[in-house]
Amino acid sequence: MLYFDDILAGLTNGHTPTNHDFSQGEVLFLTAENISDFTIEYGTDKRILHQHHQGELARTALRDGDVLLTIKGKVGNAAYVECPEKPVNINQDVALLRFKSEYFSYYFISYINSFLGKTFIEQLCTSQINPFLSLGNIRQIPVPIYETAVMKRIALRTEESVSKGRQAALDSNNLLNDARKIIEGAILNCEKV
Amino acid sequence: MAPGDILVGIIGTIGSIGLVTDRFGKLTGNCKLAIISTLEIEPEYVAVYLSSKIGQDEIIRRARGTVQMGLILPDIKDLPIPLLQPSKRKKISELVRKSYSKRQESIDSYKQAKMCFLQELGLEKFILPEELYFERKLSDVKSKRRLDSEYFKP
Repeated sequence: MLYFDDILAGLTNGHTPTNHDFSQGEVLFLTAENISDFTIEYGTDKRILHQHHQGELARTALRDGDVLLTIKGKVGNAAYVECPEKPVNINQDVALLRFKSEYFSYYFISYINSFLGKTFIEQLCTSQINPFLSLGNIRQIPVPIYETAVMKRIALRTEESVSKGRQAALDSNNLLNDARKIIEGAILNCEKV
Repeated sequence: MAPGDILVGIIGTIGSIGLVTDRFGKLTGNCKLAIISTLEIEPEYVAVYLSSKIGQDEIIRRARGTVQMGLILPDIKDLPIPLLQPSKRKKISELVRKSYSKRQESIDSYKQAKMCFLQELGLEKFILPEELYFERKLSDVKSKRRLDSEYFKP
């Protein structure tokens, strides 16, 4: 058994730039609402400027392979960042976890999002109405460590399921959009009934 | 509610559209939801029309109020529904059904992902014992600097 402190190469969270209008900017700005178990909703309306992204929030500029964990309000949802197409950053309610290279990120995501991981996180949270998991407490989350083959198998199975889920969700949205386009096209073309 | 009913958000979040499927058992809704049951037109077709840009515009223009906008049921009855040819309506309904089926597939895959860790370790049936009470020493509280029962839960 190890603790997150032993397996993390980096741990931080974002912050909110002061006096900024979030409807302005080029960089997507994610909050805890955008993170669910295994999924990141990039369709946020909040934006920050490139100067925030490259300056005061450079430490939380997301890149492929990062892991996000919600730490305020809704706590304990972990998701993997996969090749973000646009620059993305996070606020103070989301923690950014970077694991040491010898570990499989998906293994830990699978653990955090399981009933066991959530139980430990619940235990380490503070506050009742608006729960909070501090970065210090993240470091104290215990992690079961098994043989590499076992952890790799769990990571691969989880990744495969997540990938299937993501693709199916995308297909579902595309089908619905196709249906909408047919109706809109027919109305705009004044198609006969 | 019954499968095939269309749900429309009418207070606060106006115009959000849902379609009741047979995935759930008995369902009911509060006063913020309007329930539309269609007579002859395919409900999938009506639902997707209402969620389209044109359908949403029709809904939004009927919203009343200033601070908290709302939509009243007589206004929903007045919503125009374009009637396309039955073959086209059937095609649209089929796309919606496929979309719902894919959505369910996605939900199942994420559920599966959630179980991977426990299944691989043979813990999928593991249940934590729910004890009525437990005790901790004052020295534990002092050393951990925590005084909440959640933290010390066995």
